[in-house]
Amino acid sequence: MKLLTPAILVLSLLASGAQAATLKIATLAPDGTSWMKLLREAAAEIKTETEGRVNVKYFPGGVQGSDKSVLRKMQIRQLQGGAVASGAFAQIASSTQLYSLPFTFRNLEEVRAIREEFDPYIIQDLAKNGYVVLGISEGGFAYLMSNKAIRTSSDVQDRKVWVPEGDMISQTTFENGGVSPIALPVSDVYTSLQTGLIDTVAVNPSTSIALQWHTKLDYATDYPLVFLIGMMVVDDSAFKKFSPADQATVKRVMAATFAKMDAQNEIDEAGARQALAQNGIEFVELTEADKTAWQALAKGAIAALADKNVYPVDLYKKLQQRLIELRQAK
Amino acid sequence: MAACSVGRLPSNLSRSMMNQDDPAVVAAGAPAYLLLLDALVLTYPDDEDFLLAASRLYGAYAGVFAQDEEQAKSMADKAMTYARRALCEYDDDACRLVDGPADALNNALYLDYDSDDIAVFYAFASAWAGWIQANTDDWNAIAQLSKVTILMTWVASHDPAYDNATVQVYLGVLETQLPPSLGGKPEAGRAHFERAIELTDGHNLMAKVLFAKQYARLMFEQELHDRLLQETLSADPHFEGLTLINRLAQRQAHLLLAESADYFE
Repeated sequence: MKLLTPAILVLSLLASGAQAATLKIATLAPDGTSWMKLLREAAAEIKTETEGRVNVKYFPGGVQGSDKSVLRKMQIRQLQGGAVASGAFAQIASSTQLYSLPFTFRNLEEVRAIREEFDPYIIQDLAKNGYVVLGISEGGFAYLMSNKAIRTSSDVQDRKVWVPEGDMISQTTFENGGVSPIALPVSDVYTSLQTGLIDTVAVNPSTSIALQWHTKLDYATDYPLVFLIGMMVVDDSAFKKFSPADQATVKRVMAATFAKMDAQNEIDEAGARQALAQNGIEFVELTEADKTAWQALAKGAIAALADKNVYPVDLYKKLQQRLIELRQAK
Repeated sequence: MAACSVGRLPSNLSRSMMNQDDPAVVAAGAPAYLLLLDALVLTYPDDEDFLLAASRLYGAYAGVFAQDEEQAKSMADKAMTYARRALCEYDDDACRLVDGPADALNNALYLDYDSDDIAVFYAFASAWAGWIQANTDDWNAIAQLSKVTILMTWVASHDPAYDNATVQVYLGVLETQLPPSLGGKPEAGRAHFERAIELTDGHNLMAKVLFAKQYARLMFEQELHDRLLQETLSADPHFEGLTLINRLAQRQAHLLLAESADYFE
């Protein structure tokens, strides 16, 4: 008996150090999309490599509610993770908004150069708040799309512009341009385009097609407005229950998957842009003067957002400095 | 005279195929029939019936028996080409309409066409749906989805039970592409699946399988999912015009049911 007790103790200690558990992760991304296919492949790989100790289970298509409800459910431990848009973390970690300010980037090349240096700030900031970042994903650039050609800020003032509910950056940007935008959840956008409640949206090409908004729009202003970012996070306390080796496996597999997703997203955005043109959407080119005017407008919005503490001002200045250096080096 | 007797061949062959009990027989036999239809279309290039029969069979083969994605794409492409030729033979305006804006297509269908026109539009819409299904990696294909919905909705407005209520099944699938959080209307899709089941007295088993696969999975309703699949498996698949599809539905039901716990729990 005396011999048995320590043996059992050792066994149970080992077991608690390497518990089999499920990470329940919710997302708005519908099942069957290339994004979800890659995530499911990653889950299978993780399960195999950890010999079943880590089981990743997804709830796709918004079955667990909006990004906001996913984060709430994570707090009450109903879910361990979520793959959500960066905006969902606006109130939690302001660094998550770093890439989301208007007209910051001119192209994907700039985004990628910046991410290398600045992703770690976002990851650390979320870690301080109890979230482990398993991946940051690129969603491409959002463009202004409308049923009338938009070249200048005065063109947009006549439009009925949609902004996502609770999206402080979009709201402030348009208000700063003299527009009173209409805030709606994503679920209402298609119907509102149909009824004419709104006629202008800022969206990336692939989403405009996936949600069929493009059928209600005729023009896209060919100047990237804002870069879209998503993040997959898990609750720190749930993640720590896995052994360090299993944690490392999950992080490694997910990092490789997110790299694949970014490559896929780049292909998707290029394909979707071409498809928009093939299906009757006219891309409106801007003159240099128009672009400068939009930039000036954005500057005002970014200053206003700094006053509201929406993003980390010093870090953003550093990012802008890097962009200047990158552009000069060309 | 020869053309006249040959003319009945596609519809009779199609009928005997749809009533076939063993999908393997059809899988093995269909390629020969595809070649025969190609030859008939070559011989009678303006014959809408041959073009439509060829489109239907290539479309069905792409969706059900294709060995890989590339074969499915090429078969679906051929189905689409034949359907387009049939539609253009049938009506010049319709031929232009389907390539134009969605709203114009919608308006013209209700103003300028009636129930006499549904066969060609339905065949075209089915080929189009199959082509999009085979090309989901192509944004240009996905961008055209709303026009298929417009065509199918118009067909169903004239004949809700068209093609053994398969028109309702198409609409069910089309309406369950997106969750409500992204603006989808899965409840509308559910209503179409239920209508298909009701209109065929439960004989269209593919309606039940796609109801489970599309709606129940999207809305995370495991009980409904498993019940529909169990019903499919215990049903008699034999029904005029649906036997082959029902056999395939049962095969799919097995697979979906086996994945159920993994997906929902």
